[in-house]
This record gives sequence, structure tokens and C-alpha cells, in this order.
Amino acid sequence: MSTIYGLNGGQHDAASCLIIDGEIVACIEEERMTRIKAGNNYFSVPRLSAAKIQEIYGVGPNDCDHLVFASEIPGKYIKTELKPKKFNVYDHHDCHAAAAYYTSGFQEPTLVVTLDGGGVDDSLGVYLGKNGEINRVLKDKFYLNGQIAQLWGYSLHGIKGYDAEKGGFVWKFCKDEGKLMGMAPDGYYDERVYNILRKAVNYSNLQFFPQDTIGLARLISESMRRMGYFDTDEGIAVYAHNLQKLTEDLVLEFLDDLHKLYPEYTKVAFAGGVFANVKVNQKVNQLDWVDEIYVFPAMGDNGLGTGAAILKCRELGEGFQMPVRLKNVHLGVSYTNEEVEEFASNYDFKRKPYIPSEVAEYLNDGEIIGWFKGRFEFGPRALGARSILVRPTDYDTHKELNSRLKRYDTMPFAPIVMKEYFNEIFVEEKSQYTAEFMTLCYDTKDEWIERIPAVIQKSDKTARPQVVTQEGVPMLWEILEEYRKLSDIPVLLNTSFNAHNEPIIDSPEHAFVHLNNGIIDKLVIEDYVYYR
Amino acid sequence: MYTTVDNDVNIEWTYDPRPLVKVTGDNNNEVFLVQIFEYYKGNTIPYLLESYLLPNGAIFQYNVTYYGKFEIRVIRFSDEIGHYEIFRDVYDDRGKDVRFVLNTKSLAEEELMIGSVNQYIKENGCNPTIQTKIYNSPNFEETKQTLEDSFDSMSFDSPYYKTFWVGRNFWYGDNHYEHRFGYISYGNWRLFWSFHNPRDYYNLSAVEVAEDILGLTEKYNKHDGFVVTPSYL
Repeated sequence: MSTIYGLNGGQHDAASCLIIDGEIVACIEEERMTRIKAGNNYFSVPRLSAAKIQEIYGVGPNDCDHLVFASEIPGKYIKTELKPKKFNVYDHHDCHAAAAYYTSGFQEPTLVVTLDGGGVDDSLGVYLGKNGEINRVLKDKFYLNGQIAQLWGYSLHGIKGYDAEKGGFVWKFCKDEGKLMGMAPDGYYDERVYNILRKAVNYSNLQFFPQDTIGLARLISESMRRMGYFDTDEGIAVYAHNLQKLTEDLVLEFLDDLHKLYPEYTKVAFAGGVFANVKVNQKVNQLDWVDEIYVFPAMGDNGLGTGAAILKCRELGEGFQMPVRLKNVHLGVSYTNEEVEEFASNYDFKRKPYIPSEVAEYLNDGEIIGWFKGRFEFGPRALGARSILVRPTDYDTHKELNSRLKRYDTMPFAPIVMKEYFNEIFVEEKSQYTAEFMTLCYDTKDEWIERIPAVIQKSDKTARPQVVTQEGVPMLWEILEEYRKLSDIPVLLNTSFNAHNEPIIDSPEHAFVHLNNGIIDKLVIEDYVYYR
Repeated sequence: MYTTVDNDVNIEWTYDPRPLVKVTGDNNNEVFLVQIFEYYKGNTIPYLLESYLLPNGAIFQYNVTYYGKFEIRVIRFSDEIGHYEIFRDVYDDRGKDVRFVLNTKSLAEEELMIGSVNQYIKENGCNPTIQTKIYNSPNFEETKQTLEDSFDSMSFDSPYYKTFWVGRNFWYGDNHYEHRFGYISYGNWRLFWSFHNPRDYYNLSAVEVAEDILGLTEKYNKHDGFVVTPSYL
């Protein structure tokens, strides 16, 4: 059995993964280490994340048994810094697909689809997963190559324009797509805008087209901004709404065509940046022919190194011979109580032991709780290791939290929900495993909309829940249970533990800054509660 | 070259020594998308190389000076119908004035290069002007220096449709888009050694260098639709 490092970098979302003896033991995104959001640090390499994993496990990229990369490789970093004796490179979309399929747990025939802004020379892949094998059956023709992800990404530049003082675009690709998507429910269908966008990326007969999505996205969004379409939030919301509708339409048309070709493949596994779009995933989940969907939690290029390591692991016959399920994605760095206390010694905070029922009372009283437990998460979502928890019952929470966190997002906050009560609250019951990683939206049942307004999208009444199981994230499940006993609501609001424009926090140092600045009222950190 | 399209948009363009496009409309607030595509030899499908959003009156350039069957397109936006193409031109030097500058100090090399140039002229039917250091250009060094100096300047006034620099040319803008060393530029899928040579010329013969620059030796190895260009080989 071996140690395998899977790395991705050179473009956006660098990350490192370590597999030991067939098990994923660590996955860290570079942005957590550099403290610069990936979208603000486009050409990053997995330097610090690999070093951190080496520090924890005592084995690094140069002394592991196998070093693998996903293409496109960070060539300069490899040649001038890493200087490995040997390494393997796997295809970009093969890595996306491997990450999605082999962590889906699906034992049944699975349609694996990858869609992103572009790998080395393509931006989509379709694979058939069966009996533990995946085979690629489709890639895009390079001369067509319409890229939905690029339409989103480069629209951002035009919509908000260039800020000369800051020396960059106000909204950046690989960073602010979620903001635009969050505005979509506040817009409305406009046939003209929809058709304008559909000319820039269209779909027919298993291919997206035309070429030059980036150029067309820039032309359209820049022209529309100059014409005044984006002078108001309403104008941006209309654009977002129609872009969202187009994205859903294109993906559904594509999947329906695939289903006609491969009708026995009723499980669907996704990776690639397009599937960070939780509303698209919801629409797919609602298709009658789909039994279950799964989206790899690090669905963007941050998951490529993991996919590469999985492929190597399979090659060696050391694991992932069949798809497995992830218990959780808490694969980052953790801190002991002693280490935490060392950070706390810089402040004058009070401290007492963490008692779940007490913290549940704070939550029930409306306090905003910083939640720092164990190893931090892999992927873009805070899933109960570095989270901010709040009761979900107040309409005004959105405003209050955004004000404290200095965020300007219209994106609604997300709920965490005890698995035992999930079917009571949400309409669809399918795909709860992938919902453990907060990768899709669900329609909320009418009777719950008024009870948990802080986590429901006001316009379309959907939510983006994290299903919490006792086995997967036991301490989060426990606090939910304690809160439920007090409130009869098995739901809490969970938002990522970070201020505006920062990556999710890594160390206790960052958490204490939030407590000190009054962003949170109390901080639950490992076995203690800190407060001012 | 110059034309007026879509009633109010003036377009100037040239391929000498590299694709250059200027777009000017009546509305100073307008932007245009200029795209450059390339047809690989024997292939009817144009591949996007690069595109650029041009403010009104600005100039787009694509820096490669060696052979490419380039296609220039200009795209305009209307908030009624979305984007639409207002201009398209494909490189075609048949019957046009084309200059060949043989950039070598070796008579033997020059004779070899002449062979490749003659082959190009025969295949493409252009009207050639050949400038060499040894035979007929007493001011060759001066000419060469003027051309090098003018690389960064943008002019639509050249009397030639195209100038080919045949030789191991000055090394300006090297290797920025080389995939194998980890750099990538979306949309710019032709790989090159420098703006003036598609391949690293140090170990190439004079004939290979000339054929590279004139596009005579492009080998296309199709795999699933992607075309391999010389610098991949």
C-alpha cells in the first residue's frame, strides 16, 4: 500500500490531497493557507497546502510513493520548486469524473458528467460508470466549445466593470459567480435577454457552441452595462435570472439527450464548476428519470488533485475499485485545546467548558455563535467545522449577519438540518447524501416557510440545506438536537466562518479576531466556549 | 485595407507583418469584439486563436508574424438581437504583393531558403518581392533593423499584403503560451516559440526554419478534433 499525493494548480483553485493506503486522509485548498480567495489569486500553486499536509502526516510530495497531477500542470512550480523525480499527469476531466464517481457511493450504472470553463482542450466530459469502471463516451468538439461557466465568469467583469483604484474588476470570475446567481430569484424572465444569452452559448445534439464564449460574454455584459442595464440591482437580477434559466435549460436539454442514449443510467454524478450551481442541481434532481444525484463536494478545480490521486489509487489496485461514500469532508487542519488556548492568551476573553445544551440556549436566545470544531472542510462550503450558527427563525437575520460580516451578498443563508427531520421540511426526498455537502437546493414545504424564514430564499422559497447525520458530523448533530429540544425546530442557520472577501477561516487566530471584533457573540472552539 | 460596414463602422486591417485591426464607429461608448481564427491546412473549420474587446477606435493585434491562414471577424452588440457579425476577412495572398526577407548571413542557407520561398510562391500565387542580404539588398541590415524597430508600431500603410521573415529571427515575445511549460492562454491555441518562429530554431536546418515560417510543413495529427500544430511535434 502507498502514499499518493494528488495536486492541482497553475491556474485557479490550487489544492492538495493525500491518500494513504487507499483512504483519503487529507485535502486542503491553497486559499485556506494563503488566506487569499482563489478568485483573487488566479495562478496559484499548491505550495502551502502540500506543506501543511506534509507537516501533519510526515510525508510530502517529494517523498511519497506516487505524485500525480491533474492537467493542466503547474509546470514552472514543478520544474523550479518541487523538482520531483517522477510524476504522472491525468486528464483534467478524467480527474473531475473520478472524484465524482468514486465518492458517489453509487453501485448502480451511473452517468458521470463534467462541465466547466475548460480543461486543457475541452470543457465537458460524459462518462459511463458501471461496476467500478468509468469510460468516457463524449468530449466537446474544440471548434464548437460553448462554455456555460465562462458565460457566468466573464459576465461578472462587464456587469460591475473595472475599478481603476483597486486595479481590477469589481466582480471576478472564479469568485463572484455565486453573488450573481444569488440575485437570480429576484429577477424575471425576459425573452430578449434570454435570447441574447442563448446566442452566446447554445446547445444542440450533444454539443455546446459557438466558440469564444469568453469574448461574447465580455461583449454582451460590457455593452449592456454601458447601455445602463446594470445601473440598478433589478437590472442585474434580470440578467442573472435569465442566465440562470439558460444554464438550467442547457444542462437539462443535455441530460435529457444523454438519458435517451443511456436510459439505464439513472444515477447521476457531477463535477466541474458548472455544478457549483445549486439551482441547476436541484432541477436535475427533480427530473423523473433521475433516481439520485451526487455532486463532488469540491466540484471545481479544487477537486482535481483528489480525482488524480483516486485514479492512481485505482491503477495500483489499492482502493476505489467501487464507488465509496464519504463520511464527511473534514479533511483539513485541526487544533488541540492547548493550541487554541495559546491563541486565546493574546486576548482577554472568558472561557468555560462547552456544554451543548447551554450553547443551544444561546442560539435559542438569538446569539450569533462561531463554531470551530475539528478539521476544517474541503470544498467551498462551511459544513460544520468552521461555521457561524444562528437560529433560523428571524426575518432580520440576513441583514444583521451581513452587517456584522460586512458582506453584501443577496444570497440567502443556508440551513443545517437533522437528517431525521429532512423529509418533514423539504418537498423532494431524493439525493440526501449529496445534500450532506450542501450541493443542491430543495423546495421548502409551506408549513416550514414561516418557521425558518432566515434560511429560505424569499422569492422562490427554496433552501440549500446541509443534511446532518449523527455519524457524519456528530457534534453538529448534537447541537441541532439540543436546539430542537428547546425550539421544536431541527434546523439552524449555518454560514461560512469568514468576513467579506476572505476564505473560510483556518486557525483559532482568525476565529478570535471575529470574536474580538464583535462579529460573533460567542465562540465554540473545540471543548470550550469563549466570550467577551 | 479599409471598409465601411453596418452603415457606420469603419474597419482598417492588415496582415503585414501580423494581423492588425482597427474598428471605429460613430458611438464613442460602443465596444466591439474582434476575433482572430485560423484555418489549419486542409481543414475547413476555423479555430479561435484570440479575441479582444475593443473600445471604439482602438486597435487589435495578433503578434505572430509567420504564416497562418488567419480569419478576422468583428462582432457588434445590439440590445435588440444580441451579438452579430459585421465583418469577416480570410487571409488570402493570391495575386497580392508579398515580401520575403531572407534573414541569414549564410549564402548556402539563403539558397536553401530561396527554394522554400519559391515553393510558397508557386503554391499560393502571390506577387513576390524578395530581399536578401547577399544578392540584391545593399541596405539589408538597415532594412532588417527598421523592421525590427517597427515591430511594436502599428501601421495600416504597408505596401505589402504580408512580409515573411524567413530566418532565425530576433527573439521578441518568446514562448509565453507554451503549454508544456505550464502556461496557457484561453483561446490562444496555437503554440509558438516566439512571435517570429513557430518552433525553437536552434537545431533546425535552414529549410526547416523556412518551411516553418512559410507554413509549408505543418503537420496535422487529428485526434478527436484537435489539430496538432508544429510546436506540438
